[in-house]
Amino acid sequence: MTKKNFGRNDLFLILGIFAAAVLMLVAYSRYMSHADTPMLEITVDNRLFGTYDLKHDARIRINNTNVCEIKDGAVRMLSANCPDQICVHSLPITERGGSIVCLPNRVVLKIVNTHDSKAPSAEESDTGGTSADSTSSVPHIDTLAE
Amino acid sequence: MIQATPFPWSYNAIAIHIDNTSDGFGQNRRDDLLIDSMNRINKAKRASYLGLLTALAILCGYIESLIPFNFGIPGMKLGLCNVVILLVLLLFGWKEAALVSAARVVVIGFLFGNLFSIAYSMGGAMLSILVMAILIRTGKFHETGISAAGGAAHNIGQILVAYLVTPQLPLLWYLPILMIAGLITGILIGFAVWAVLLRIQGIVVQK
Repeated sequence: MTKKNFGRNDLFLILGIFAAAVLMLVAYSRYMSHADTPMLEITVDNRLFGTYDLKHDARIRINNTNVCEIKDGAVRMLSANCPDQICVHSLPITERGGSIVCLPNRVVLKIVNTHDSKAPSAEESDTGGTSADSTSSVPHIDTLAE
Repeated sequence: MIQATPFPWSYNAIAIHIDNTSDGFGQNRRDDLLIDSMNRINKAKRASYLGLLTALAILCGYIESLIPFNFGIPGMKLGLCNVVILLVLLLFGWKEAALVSAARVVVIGFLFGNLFSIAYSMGGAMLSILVMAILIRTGKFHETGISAAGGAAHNIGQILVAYLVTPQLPLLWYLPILMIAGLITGILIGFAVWAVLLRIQGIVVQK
């Protein structure tokens, strides 16, 4: 059964779990801060859709189901056609790491750590938005700018 | 000592013995009486108790769906159902708690969620019951600590299932935040369970 009063054991248990969580946070942010260039990687249905630099503001339309936006180094999901809209109401993710997932459309936006010096530019979507240094206005499905 | 007289038309009366040796602040807990009597009731009574408690857990899920608690982090919620689940775990046992939990996960998933949410919740609920049952077995923890560990385990289980479904590393970024949230809500839920136990201690259910 359970003890009668809140005691030392409970305090140790709670503080132990709290300490483990804090350790995980510290470890993850140290791992992310060693990145050369944190990039936004978008995968649809576990296939790579595109990789975008966080430094260039852009609005990206994904497969006519989701629209996400990179602005001031943060990524938000602007709109989605899923019924629960969890992705739209999620916290924006920054270069510190994290992900936004739209489960019904199987869209995953995540910040990855790339240690290579590849610098793809953000693609411009046909809905417009703040301009980035896009080379051409081809549809997303076809090309990935290098 | 107060004793409620049975109604003339009921043959299985609940006699409520309120022991005047308990001061209501956890000093002379008579939960063993309650639990012992719960273990000896017949199957029909147990089934009806569990059915009622499952319905209560589903009701908790409905209340949770009305209160937007997640602060933008997917998967964060109040965990009200765990009051019922922990009570079932304490009064009946882990098998009954797993049954009630599985039933409420499925029904709440069909009513207020989607198929994926059933998988995540089921993983979280089962891990939470496992952790809570082990902690109760040691007998060294108060309900608050057990519930806090159960809440954290619930969120860990959810993230584990999500990781199995889509192995993406940034999911691990959510894990510590959800663990801390689970701890805090677990402590509050544990206080609620403590309050309930305090008020039903010493109740003996007959037959």
